[in-house]
Amino acid sequence: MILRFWQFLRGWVTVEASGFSLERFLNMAAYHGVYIWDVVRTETGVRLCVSAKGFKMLKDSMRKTKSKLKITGKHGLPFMLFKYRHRKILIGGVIFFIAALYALSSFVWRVEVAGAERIKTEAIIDFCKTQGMYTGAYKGNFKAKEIVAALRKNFPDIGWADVHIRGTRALISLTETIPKKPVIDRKTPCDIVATKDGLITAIVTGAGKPLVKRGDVVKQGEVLVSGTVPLDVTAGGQVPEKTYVHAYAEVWARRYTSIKFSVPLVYDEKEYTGRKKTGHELQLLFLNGKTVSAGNSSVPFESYDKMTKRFQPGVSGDYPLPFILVTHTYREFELKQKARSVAEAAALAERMLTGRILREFDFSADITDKQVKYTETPDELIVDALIVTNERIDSAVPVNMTAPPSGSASPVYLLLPDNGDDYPVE
Amino acid sequence: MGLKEKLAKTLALPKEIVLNLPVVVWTGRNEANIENYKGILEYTDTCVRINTRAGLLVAEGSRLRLKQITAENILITGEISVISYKVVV
Repeated sequence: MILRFWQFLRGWVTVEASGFSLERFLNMAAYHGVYIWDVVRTETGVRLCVSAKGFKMLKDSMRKTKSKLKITGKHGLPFMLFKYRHRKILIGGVIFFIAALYALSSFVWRVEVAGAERIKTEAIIDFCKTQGMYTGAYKGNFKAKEIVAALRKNFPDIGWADVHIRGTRALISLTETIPKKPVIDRKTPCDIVATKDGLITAIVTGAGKPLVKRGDVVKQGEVLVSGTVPLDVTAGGQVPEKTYVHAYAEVWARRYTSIKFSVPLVYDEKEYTGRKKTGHELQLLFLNGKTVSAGNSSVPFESYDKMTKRFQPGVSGDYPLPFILVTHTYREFELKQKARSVAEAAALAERMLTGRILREFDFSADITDKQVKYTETPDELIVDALIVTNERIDSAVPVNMTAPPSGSASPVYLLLPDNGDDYPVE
Repeated sequence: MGLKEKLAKTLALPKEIVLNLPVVVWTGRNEANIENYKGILEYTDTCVRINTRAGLLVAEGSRLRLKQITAENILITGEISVISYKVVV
C-alpha cells in the first residue's frame, strides 16, 4: 500500500521491451539498482513496469543488449501534473484548498468542558476566553499548560484539570474538589444573634451565656446568647473579670408569616394556531461569529414562540468545522381570554401556595399550622394565608470587643460593678 | 569443506549470508521469492531459469510473472508447479 503510494508520487511507466537477450537486459537493470516489477511475457518480448527515474537508467542497458523499449503508459503524479500544467485555475484551486485546510485547522473551533458540576461551564469558558482560548483562537496563541495553571489558580474548586487540544476541538476536563464544609472558627468570640423575629420555643446552649429564655419574644438582630462570659471575681485578684467564648446554641422560634396573592378568574392562554415557520442561519466562526441568513428571515406572525437549535458539524468528532447551523422555529399563537370557576381557582391557589411555602421556607422549618382565607371578588380570588412555623433563628456573629454589649439589661452588668468606662480588653 | 563453510558451521552463522546461497521462499502455489540469485538465464511464460551459487534453479509452471526484480531477489508469481535444481554439466 505504502509502496504503491510511493510509486504514484514518483511516477511510473509501463514499457514494452523487445530484443534477443531480454534476460540479460533484466539482469543488467537489476544490477544497476533499477527496481522493476510486474514483468509479463508477451509474444514479442516482455512488458514491465519501472519508475520514471529508473526508466532513464534503463537506457544504458538497452543500448548494450540491443533491445528496444517502447513506452506504452505513463502513470502517477508527475505525469498528471505535467498533463494539467496549463490549467492554472485548477492548480490554484488545489493550492488554495490545501492552504485553507491547513489554515483553518490551526484554529480552535469548539471549546468543550467536561466534569463541571458546581462550577458553571459558562464561567470556565468565559475565563478561558480571557486567557486566549476561545472559539476562533489561533492554536499558537495560547499554551494548554498555562491555561490549566490559570484555571486552577482562578477556580479553587478545581482539583484536577487538563486542556486537551485535538484537531480543532479544545476539551477542558476537570474534576472538582469535594465541597468544603463550613469550618466553625472556635477561636473567634461570637454572639448568637436572631436572624428573624419570633417567639422562642426552645433554646439549647452549648457555649456562651444565654440572654433569652423560652417564651421570650425576640427581634431580628437581638443577641440571644452572649459570647462574653463573666467570671467570678470574688475568687481572687488574678482572675480577669470576664472572658470571651465562641457561643454555640440552637434556638427555635415560632413565627407567623403572612402570604397574600390573588388568582385572576379571567386569564389569557396561549393557543397555538399550528402555523410554523423555520428560518436557517449559518454562523461563520471565522468571521467573528457573523451570521448569514438563508432566505427571508422576517417572521410573518404577530405573537410567536421562538425555538433555536444549534448544530456544529464536524469531521470524525475531533474536527468541528468553523460554522454553526442555526435553525429557528417560530410557532404562532393567539392569546385567548379564558375564564375559570372559583373551584378551579381555589385548586390553583392551593398549588401556588404549596409552591411558595416550599420556596420561601428553609427545609428544616416545621410548618405547625396553616390558615388560609379565600375572598371572592367578581374578577379574582384573593388568598390570604397565615403560616405558623417553628424554625431555627440563630446565627453566629463575632463579638464587638471594644464597644459595650448592646442592651443595658444584660445580666453581665448585674454581676459586675458598672464603673462607667468601657470594658477593658484583654 | 571450505573455510567459509567451516566458519558457518562452528559459529552457527546463517549459510545464505556466509556462503551467499540462494533462499527460496515458496508461499502456497502462487508465489516464490528467490533471494541471493546471480542472474536470470531465461524467462518465459512457463519456465524461469535462474543462475545461483548452488546451481541452476528452474521454476516451472504456467502464466509465470516476475512480480519484482531487484539486485537481491526475484519474486515469481503465477501457477508454479516445480522448483528444482538442474546440474550444470
